[in-house]
Amino acid sequence: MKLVPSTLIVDDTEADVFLSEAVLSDTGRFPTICSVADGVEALELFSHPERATEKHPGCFPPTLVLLDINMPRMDGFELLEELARRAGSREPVVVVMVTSSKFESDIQRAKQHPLVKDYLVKPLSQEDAARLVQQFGVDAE
Amino acid sequence: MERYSSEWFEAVIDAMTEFVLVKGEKSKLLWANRAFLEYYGMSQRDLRGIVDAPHSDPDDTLQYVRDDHEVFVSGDALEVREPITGATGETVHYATIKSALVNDAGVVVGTVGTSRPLAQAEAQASEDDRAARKSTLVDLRRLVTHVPMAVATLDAKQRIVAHSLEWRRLFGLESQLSGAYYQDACETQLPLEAELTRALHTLTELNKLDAVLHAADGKRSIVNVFVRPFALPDERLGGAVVMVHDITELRERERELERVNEELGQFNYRISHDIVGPLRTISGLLDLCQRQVAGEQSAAFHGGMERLRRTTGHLIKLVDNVMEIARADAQLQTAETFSLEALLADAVSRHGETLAEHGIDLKAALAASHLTSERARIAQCLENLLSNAIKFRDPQEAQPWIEVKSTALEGATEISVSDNGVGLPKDGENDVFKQFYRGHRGVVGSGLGLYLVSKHLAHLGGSVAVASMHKPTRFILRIPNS
Repeated sequence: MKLVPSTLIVDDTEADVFLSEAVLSDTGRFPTICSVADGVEALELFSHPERATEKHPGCFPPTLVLLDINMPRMDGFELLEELARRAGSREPVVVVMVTSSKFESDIQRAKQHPLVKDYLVKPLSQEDAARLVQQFGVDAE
Repeated sequence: MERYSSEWFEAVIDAMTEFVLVKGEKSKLLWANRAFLEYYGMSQRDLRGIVDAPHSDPDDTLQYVRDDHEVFVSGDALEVREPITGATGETVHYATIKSALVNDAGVVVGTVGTSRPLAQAEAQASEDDRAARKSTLVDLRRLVTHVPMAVATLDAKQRIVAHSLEWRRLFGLESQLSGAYYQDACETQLPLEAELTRALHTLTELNKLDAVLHAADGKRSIVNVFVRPFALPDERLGGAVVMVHDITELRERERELERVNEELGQFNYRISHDIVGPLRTISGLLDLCQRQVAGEQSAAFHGGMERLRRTTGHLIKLVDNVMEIARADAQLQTAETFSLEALLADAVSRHGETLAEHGIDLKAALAASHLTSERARIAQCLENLLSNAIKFRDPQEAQPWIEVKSTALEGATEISVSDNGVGLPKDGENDVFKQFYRGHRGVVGSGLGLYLVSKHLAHLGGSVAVASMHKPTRFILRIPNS
């Protein structure tokens, strides 16, 4: 059985976080889900793993990141740039963009980024969740 | 004094009782004999370089210049009757012969005129002519002065004969300009002399649009200049009428309109974007709620939930369409060469389930396999036409089909999308591409799909048309190659 051990949702809209968490939890394959409402905060946690472990136990480093595009202070694309820069020798972050924009140009732009493995349009559906497990789940014994 | 020296020649000419007057380019005075100097009450030095004395009637001066010009142009001597006003203010009429001074290369470089007083009868005739000339000029000036536009009439030498008050205001000039050369009075504010010369020389109209006028009072204006040269009855060049139309405010308002329009477009996009987010969230939450209570509640509850979901779905589609339209206008895309097959495959995969569910056969005959244009726009057009074809399928049809064809034309590519669905209403062909047009009552849709297609094609410089309304319904896109 495949599981996605830890998932980080980066999204400034609380209702969307609630929804995504509910949909993912329903599958029973996402044991640990955390969320951060702000790109700057997310970057902080990636840069300081000890603090991350303290605030969100079991979440860092996350197996999967669900990243929203439109956020104040630092949007999804900007966060991607920063993460790519700091990746260095660490394991690359796996990102799936989840956003309400379904425009060709945004999709193309997201898919072009090396860290982005897929693109989903809100709201997250049960099919989407199943697909995420298929793509990014690891065998748990 | 030595015989044949220049002083000797001067003394000879000074001995004559007739006036002898030598002029150069632009009727500027060079030398006059004693008789003339005494009559004019001026010294040789006073005279040099001016066109005429201040005590002269400016309208008479205009005539002198006109006559000089004729000698310059023809090279022949000219006999005229003319009024000359002396230093005392008295006007006497003279018979003057103006001859051309020609240099070694045969070019006219000046005139020499000799004048003798006219006898009584001829003097009277000359005065009558003068009065008639003046009366015409007075009428002309009155008209021109009060025309509510910046207008001026110039003579053949580009001297301002008359101008409107509006002209003075526009150029920011305080003084009267009659008699002044355009080059001296107005060239600094609005450089025009070279073009005026060309227009006058060839007797052709000149329009100079969006020129810049720097008024003497510092004000900067955008103007349209119209020059209309005219000929005299004997076909000689008479002069030109110059009209300067101030369009500064017009251009400013245009710019403002563009700015406001752009702002509106951006607002449209932003607002739609801010609406669609929460709408999608609502849709997802409704789903969630419905799943939680599946089977537990009444039919009314589930019916209500289902309709909530559908209504939300429509709203999302509408707002998505509105955003697409705002983007269609604002988007600056680059053209690329892409595969039409791949584009169609993308669209088909999105609708795969629906096509299979209703047994719709999708046929493709892409003679033109590739296209050089703005990919995203073409993708959206194809998507809209396909989803329409699916939506408007005929449920009575045993074998529903959709066909997509592409043909390469000269400098363009033609794509057609046809189907055997319910088609378009009979008199709908002109309205089909209008905003919010919905062909069939009761069919779900925002009515913006085809409108968006027409906008995209307009941006690409192409066209979309209905080739056939019903069985088959066929839309033809004509896309120019970038």
